Amino acid sequence: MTSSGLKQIFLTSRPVLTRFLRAHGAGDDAEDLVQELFIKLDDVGQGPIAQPRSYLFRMANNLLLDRRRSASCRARREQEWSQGGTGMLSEVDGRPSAEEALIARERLETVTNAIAQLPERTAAIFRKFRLDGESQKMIADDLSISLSAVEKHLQRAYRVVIDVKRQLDAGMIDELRLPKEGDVSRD
Amino acid sequence: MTDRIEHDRSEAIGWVIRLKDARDHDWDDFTLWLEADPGHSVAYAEAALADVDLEPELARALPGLQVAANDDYPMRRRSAVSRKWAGGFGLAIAAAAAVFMISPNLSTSRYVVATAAGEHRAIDLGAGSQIALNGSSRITLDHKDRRFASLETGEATFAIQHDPSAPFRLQLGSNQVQDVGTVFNVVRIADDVRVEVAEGEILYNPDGGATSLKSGQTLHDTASQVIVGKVDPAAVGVWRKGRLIYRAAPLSTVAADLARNLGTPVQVDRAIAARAFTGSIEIDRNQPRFFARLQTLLGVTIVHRSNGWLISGSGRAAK
Repeated sequence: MTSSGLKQIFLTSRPVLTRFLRAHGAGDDAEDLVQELFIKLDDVGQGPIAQPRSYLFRMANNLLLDRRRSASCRARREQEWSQGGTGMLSEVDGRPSAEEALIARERLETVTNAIAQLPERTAAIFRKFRLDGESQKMIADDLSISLSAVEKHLQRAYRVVIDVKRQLDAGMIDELRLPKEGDVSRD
Repeated sequence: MTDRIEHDRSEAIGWVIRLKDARDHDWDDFTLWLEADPGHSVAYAEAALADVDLEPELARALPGLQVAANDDYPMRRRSAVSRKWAGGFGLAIAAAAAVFMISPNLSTSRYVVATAAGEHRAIDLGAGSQIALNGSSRITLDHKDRRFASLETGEATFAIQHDPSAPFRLQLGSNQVQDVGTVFNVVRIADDVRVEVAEGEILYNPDGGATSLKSGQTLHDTASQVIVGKVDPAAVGVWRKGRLIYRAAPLSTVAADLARNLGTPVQVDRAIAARAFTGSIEIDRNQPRFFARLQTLLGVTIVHRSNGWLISGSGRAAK
């Protein structure tokens, strides 16, 4: 599919894409965002795209998620400042430091521990679905269980993932508030 | 109120799952769901971002691949792949190099698994079929078609579940291996292909000069000719005990891998450190014998010094 072919599909789908963005919480920015999406189409490679309309929706979805992520990062940073922290998050400073390596290791440990709490089968199903790319139907067939059973396992696993993320996000602020050597007490 | 939040969260997770493999109508339904309540997009964003942002950690935290023939996972059909082979696929993944996996392409169901130099990776295709990937290798698989694979480069051992109704097709460039249920090893570097069969039977290039290979047989397709030979079935896939495969890898990388595999320092002279090597090296624990062979293979001089082995250009006097 050429870039102009994709753009053609975009123009036809523009109204539903705008509606989608608005529903996704873009509000008044929906028009601007759909425009941003159009400009991004130039960056898309030449390769074949089997389902162009779906592809565009996915791009729009990612755009919105990025927005939300930046917004929550900003909110966390602002909270940091208001609580007297340094306001330095690793996303801001591109250079890795010893402290960041430590944080990364602790992050991995936290996630690993959380996953370890899952029953073996749940973790295995989660892995099959998420990393090995098996469909729910494939997994259900392999393990001779129902589709809804697979869904339940996945629901459980994803809940843990969400809880861990919250834990990490909250923890980040505490990490950065640890007093460093030479810091004057803020009390 | 909390019930409602819980309900929203369940639905949001349901959408994260459903959208992994979305069709046009899924996006339309998703739009309707988002419009139903402003809380929905918040719940979805939380779930989706958790999923995306924890990707690097999840890739490492999720448990290693289980062998399919395992008590925890009772299977309706008995595995036709003999226990000996199924058990042998519990590979230890080399700790040093990072696994490199390209994320699923948005447009197709195909995805690629690649290994760094000196690294092994086990791939569970599900339904009792497995692939063991040697270092410096790349294989394309298909989420929607478990009986398809394409070895772009490198080496892999395949243990394929028996299913005559759905032959397994392995692409090797313009060549193909077709198999109904066997264990076989393949090395592919560009157009040069070697196949060894441990168990069962395969058909090489079924649509063009079909060559049938049984257990204990080998095939070498040099692109100009196809040579059939013999092998001890037990020796097939012996790389899992330590054979490294390279494609245009610098000698410095080879040296590092050898050092790691043998547990002894291996240095390479700076003058030839960047020289490219293509081929496969079978690790032999008998180091003097191994390095003597390696001299010939690499066209270098290798000497033993007090602090390990040194690889240098031919003709250089050892210090």
